Amino acid sequence: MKVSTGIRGLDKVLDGGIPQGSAIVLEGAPGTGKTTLGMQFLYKGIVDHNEPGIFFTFEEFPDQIYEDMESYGWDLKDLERKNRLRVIGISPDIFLDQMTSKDGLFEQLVREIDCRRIVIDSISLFEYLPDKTGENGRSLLYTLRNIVRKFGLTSLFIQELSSLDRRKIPFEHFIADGVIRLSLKEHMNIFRKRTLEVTKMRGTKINEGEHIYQITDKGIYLLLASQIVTDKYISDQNEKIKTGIPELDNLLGGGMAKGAVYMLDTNSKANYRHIVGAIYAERVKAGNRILSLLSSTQTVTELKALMDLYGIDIDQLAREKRLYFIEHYNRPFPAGWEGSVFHVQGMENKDYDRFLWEKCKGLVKECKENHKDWFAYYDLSTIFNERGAEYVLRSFAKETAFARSFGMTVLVLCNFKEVGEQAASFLERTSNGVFKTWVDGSYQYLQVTKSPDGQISKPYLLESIGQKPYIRLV
Amino acid sequence: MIQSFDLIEELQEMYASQYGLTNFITDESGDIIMLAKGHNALFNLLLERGAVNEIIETVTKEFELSKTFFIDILPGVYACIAPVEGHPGYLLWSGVKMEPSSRDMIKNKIDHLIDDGDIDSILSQTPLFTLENKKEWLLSAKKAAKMISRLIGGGDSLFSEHLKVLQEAVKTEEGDVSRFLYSFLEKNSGIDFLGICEQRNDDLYEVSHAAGEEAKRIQGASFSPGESFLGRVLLTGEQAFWEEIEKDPKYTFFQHYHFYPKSLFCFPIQLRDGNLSLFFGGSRTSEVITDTVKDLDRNMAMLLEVVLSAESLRKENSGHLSRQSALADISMMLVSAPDLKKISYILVDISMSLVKGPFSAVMLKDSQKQKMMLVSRGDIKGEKGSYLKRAAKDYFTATSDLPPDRLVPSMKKLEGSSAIIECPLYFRGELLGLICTGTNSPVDQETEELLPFLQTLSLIAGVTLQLAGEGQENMMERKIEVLHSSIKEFDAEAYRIAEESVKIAREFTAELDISKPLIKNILIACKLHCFSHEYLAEMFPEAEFPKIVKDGTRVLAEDAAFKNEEQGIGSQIFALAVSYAKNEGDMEAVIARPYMKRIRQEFLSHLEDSKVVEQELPLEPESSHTMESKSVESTIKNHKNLSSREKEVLDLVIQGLNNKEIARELFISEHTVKNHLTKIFQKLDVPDRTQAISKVYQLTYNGSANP
Amino acid sequence: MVKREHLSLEMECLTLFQSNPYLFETIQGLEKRLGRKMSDLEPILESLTAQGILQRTGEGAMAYFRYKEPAVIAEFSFTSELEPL
Repeated sequence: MKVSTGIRGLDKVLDGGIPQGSAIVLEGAPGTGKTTLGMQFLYKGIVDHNEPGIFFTFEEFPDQIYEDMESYGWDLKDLERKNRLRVIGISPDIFLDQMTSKDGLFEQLVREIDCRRIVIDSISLFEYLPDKTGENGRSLLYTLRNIVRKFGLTSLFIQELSSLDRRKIPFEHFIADGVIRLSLKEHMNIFRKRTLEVTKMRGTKINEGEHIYQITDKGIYLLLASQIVTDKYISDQNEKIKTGIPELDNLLGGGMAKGAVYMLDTNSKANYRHIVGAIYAERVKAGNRILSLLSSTQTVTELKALMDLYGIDIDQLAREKRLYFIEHYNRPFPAGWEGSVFHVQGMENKDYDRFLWEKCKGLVKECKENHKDWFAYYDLSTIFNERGAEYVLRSFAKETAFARSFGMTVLVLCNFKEVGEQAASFLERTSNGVFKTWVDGSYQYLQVTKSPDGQISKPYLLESIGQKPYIRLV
Repeated sequence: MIQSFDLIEELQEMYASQYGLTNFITDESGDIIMLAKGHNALFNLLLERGAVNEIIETVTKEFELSKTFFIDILPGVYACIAPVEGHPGYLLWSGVKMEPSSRDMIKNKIDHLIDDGDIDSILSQTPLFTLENKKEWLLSAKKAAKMISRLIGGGDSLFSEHLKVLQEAVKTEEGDVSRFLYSFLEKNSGIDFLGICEQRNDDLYEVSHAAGEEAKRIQGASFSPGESFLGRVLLTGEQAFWEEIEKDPKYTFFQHYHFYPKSLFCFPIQLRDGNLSLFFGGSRTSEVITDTVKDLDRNMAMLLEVVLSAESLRKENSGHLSRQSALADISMMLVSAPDLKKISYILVDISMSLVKGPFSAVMLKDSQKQKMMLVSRGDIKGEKGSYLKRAAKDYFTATSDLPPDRLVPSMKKLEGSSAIIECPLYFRGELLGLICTGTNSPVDQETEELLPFLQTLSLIAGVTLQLAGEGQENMMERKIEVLHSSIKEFDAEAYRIAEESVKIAREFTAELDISKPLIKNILIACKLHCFSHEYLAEMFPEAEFPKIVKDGTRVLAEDAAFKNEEQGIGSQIFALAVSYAKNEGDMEAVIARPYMKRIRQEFLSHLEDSKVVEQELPLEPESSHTMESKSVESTIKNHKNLSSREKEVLDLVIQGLNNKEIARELFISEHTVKNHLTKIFQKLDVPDRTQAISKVYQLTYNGSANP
Repeated sequence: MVKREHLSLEMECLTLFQSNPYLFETIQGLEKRLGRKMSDLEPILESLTAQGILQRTGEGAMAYFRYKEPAVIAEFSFTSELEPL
């Protein structure tokens, strides 16, 4: 069972939320919004999930907190009147004393409102408190964690952090089920960037990396590293198709979403041949009808050789009218392919547009009626070169919408660096998923930076292997 | 942030059905926060297929929106986007309409979106986008967005502004009244000057504070009771509003100081020592005072009363520093939490800890729910309980207004027990609550000393309670206003009926002896007459007026089975007013039912009377004050003992002129004016000017009461 | 009388607990929060407890105070029984 954190982005980072009953340390320097995040966790828990909560504050006055949180539109007093929330001002020593007493204040409070979540602001003071047995704060914290577990409370322990470069891992991190760190960083000496990182979380997958967050007038808003706007239309279909690269399928939660448009962003040094080859071959094997638009450097002969590696005879497929090509360069094609190749060289953009809409649509529609799925492999650089950036910007969204409406999965090849920042950001937004591959030093990497269901990955090393699919992510 | 989803949805529905468009609202991150309403098949199809997502995203992220504009979702297919004022990033989308000439192209473009279904029928249902209707669409979208903006959060700013002023008022150690006047002026357009008049030692009154451009010129001006506009209020003791005042003879007072207001209001403010001060203000540009401004004026007067009385308490208690700061603390606490329960807790705790007696109880009236709440500490069973019930009954069921001495804290001696302090909480003469605190001793000096402290506390509590109540009502009133103005947009005839029935019902109920809350409910019912009672009841679950609409509609519908007896007076008046308005003022057509003969008769004779007034008015170009002075004038004219010159002088006195002005007016010396006055006083058997004026009024009103 | 001199501090305590109905605090804690001497606070807390406005739990240094809500009868009428809800 996962418990929503009340912050949409953070739930995504945590693959759904915090595992129920966990004790999480939330650490950060003053001014990073720890109290706000803590209260948002409780407030949303009450309002959206009917889970009453208690906020313990050792240093602040509760009425200060009521007032501060009002600026996010949270009426805490109203929740207190409805017995869904308590904001408790208490000294840490009484808190600990009462916590360990049978039928003490802590137990009473938890029972009184049927509490499911608590926030303790902050555990930093514990270090200085001697507990009854004379030991230091560490054993107190251990006791605290055991008690909240006993009550099945999902808890956030707020920890003040004055310096970020602590060398050793603090004790709190060992006993807590998870650690969320908020940081405030100077960014190019101009503005400060707030980032959130989950460094530990038992019982759930996490999205690694530092995610930027903002404190808005509705509370904390987290943007995932490479935030995507989930396309409802696509995720509703929920049908995954394999890429032929097992590790990539895992990253994508089973495969590419059917009907989605994926961008493969490669830099000039990177070798994408096997990535494309694996996916292409996999689609052919799955019985897809395939529409290809090859780049100026990639010839049919080369494609044929690549497919041979994967045990696929594209000659035969072309003759069976399972492969179609859009050709801009009037290159020769093997005999027998005539009906499968559309020569579009010299076509005005207007005519090309009409060709796409009439010819391709007709083709796709017809197959659709026979329950054949389509896959398109599309070299966008060719379109940039032959038809101009303006054409791409104008027509790309339309084309992707067309593909989606027919459940046609598309792999688009593009070099973001080459097309310029503005076009790249447009393409990134318009695509449903983005794979990025690049070479750094003597290694090549691959990272999923966007996907329709919000999964993103860390960078993986791309390793060549001797058998199909000839690459592996490490 | 959004407080009334239901109402916004309602608005969306209305807007949608009126224009055949589908509409929805997005927020600053492009999320749809109010789902699409409406049956525009083309737009719904595009939305469903995700064809609008990109556009929403682009518009949200890349456009700086401050204007309503059109966007083509597809070439030739238009949606209108209106920013929701006051809520940056919120957009109202409505659409779609199509250009007639682009029909074939559109058909081509959307063909692939449709699996089955008739593309031609979708297109033929789609409204056309033409040059002629373009502007109308922009305007209607703007209006809808405006109404929505009023429904999305942050609307009770006036209330919170007032609360802020009150908080400032109780916080200051050193009362600086002028500062408050200026802060009022800053926050309220519609008023451009404000001032205060206080009594001087020589019984004359003086403008002690004046704020606003030009108004400074009357600072220090003095006048006697009865003189000019302000002096009039000292006599009547009632608040007054004057419009188009330039034509009034009393205007010379201001002219004299080269100050030229066009409208004016004035409130008497009773101070703790029993003296009256005046709070006045108005506009130098507007000749009329709207109802909104009147409400504002009343609120300002109420806040000023607190400021002045806190200041006078500070003066009195200047020696007791400790108590002063305690009062400031308590006041801060009271005004920081305008919530009935919280206020009552504070009051019960403070009275308890102040008096240190065996018990304390606070009883509060909830005017909306007609209920009472009792909050207590200590033992209130047995004898004390019976006393509390008696005291509550005593105060709360008093039929007429309580005499002034009942409005201040007093000691009550109970047989066989110690004294009890009774401290009523009132606001503008209306009793809102009562504190009863037991003491441990018989009446003594020590406890007596607490009374002034308690009095100030009760005053502040009274105002806070009033504000708390207004805060609650605020949301409801806003909803009512939005619904009402939505009628205007969507059904002009129903709106006309609403306006007219409200007007006639307001005039008529003013003549009847029915409670203010009932009147208010009748007027709201008229305003919203065209909504179904089920809908109103759902929208305003706590309110009374949906029942009036329900019963009234049955009356109107000639529901024979419906027996509307005594208790249904509200619905009967509603039915009368609405039927009168529906039939465009045809008296014959006013609804008649056997059980409402009497009220109908009264209604008709009210209509007759108002007709007479309407006919008379054109003969007299000036409004009410002329009529008033006319009858006063006739009283003076008909006075047997006065010479004609004396009559002239008295007339000018009544009009508010001072001796100098009378002298100038009649081309006589000031000395002669004084002589005339002395004789007038003798003949009227009064000691001074003030009494003379009130005598004339007495004669006038008694005269009309016994014809 | 003593009580008059303490009025201000008493109101201060009252305000604190009124605005923070879920404050649980020892005398030492209150000393810190209010910035007032413990010896001044003692009689006042004593008195507020005696009047039933505050509630004391525990003994000695670990004894803590909290605000106690007054009795409320939500629908009081001239005839109702005065048994608090």
